[in-house]
Amino acid sequence: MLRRQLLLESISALLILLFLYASMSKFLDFRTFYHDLNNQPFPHSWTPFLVWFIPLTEIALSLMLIFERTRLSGFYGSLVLMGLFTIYAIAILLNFFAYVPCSCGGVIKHLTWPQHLVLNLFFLGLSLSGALIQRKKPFKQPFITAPTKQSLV
Amino acid sequence: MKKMKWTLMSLAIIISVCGAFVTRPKFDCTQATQYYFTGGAYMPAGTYGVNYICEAGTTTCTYYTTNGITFFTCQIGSYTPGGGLTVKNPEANPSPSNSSH
Repeated sequence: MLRRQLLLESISALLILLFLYASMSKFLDFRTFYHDLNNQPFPHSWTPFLVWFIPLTEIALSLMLIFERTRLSGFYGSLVLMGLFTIYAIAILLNFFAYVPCSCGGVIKHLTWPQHLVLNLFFLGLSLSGALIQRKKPFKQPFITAPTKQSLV
Repeated sequence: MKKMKWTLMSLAIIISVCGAFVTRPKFDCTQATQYYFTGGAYMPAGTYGVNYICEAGTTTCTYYTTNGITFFTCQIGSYTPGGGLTVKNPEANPSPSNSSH
């Protein structure tokens, strides 16, 4: 039980490390991030939306992963986000788009697309493991319980 | 356990925030005028995403200069004229099949 809890805390900490680092790097070099998004093979009209949506989602997921009550949702969110990043990296490696863009975000920028894919798969695996372990945890009773069928009679 | 949890979380937050500050680029060369090398001269590249893009690659895509004599590498990649997949004004340049009517 203690080992499982420690594993959960470690997985959460690693995901927080990734998401907070990535979002902070984007905000600290916002112009370059905007510039890098314009280099991606999707319409430029998406950039003003994505430039806020991606880092804010990463911060929201980090906060959700800190607290026990929101952690499972945080793991599911991480799974979706990392899944989308992984699909995008695979699509680029399979030459699905007209050209191969640069990768972005702090030191992650220096990774090649195959290295990027390995990193994404690693964190995708962590998110999946976290969600599965968290689901198995005994459910904590909420402060206000829903009325049972018997109590309503 | 709670103490361990908060130690781990605090460490993750501190490392990520400090790491982002430490790895932040000190000088953003993309804010300077960008040039591309034609093989014989350095020519102004124009606006990124409009006049050119940098595709993935290991060569130098654009250069910048501080004195007009020495040019330094700025963006890495392969210099490609044009704005990627963005069509600025499709009506302005109709296809031959549409103009034949």
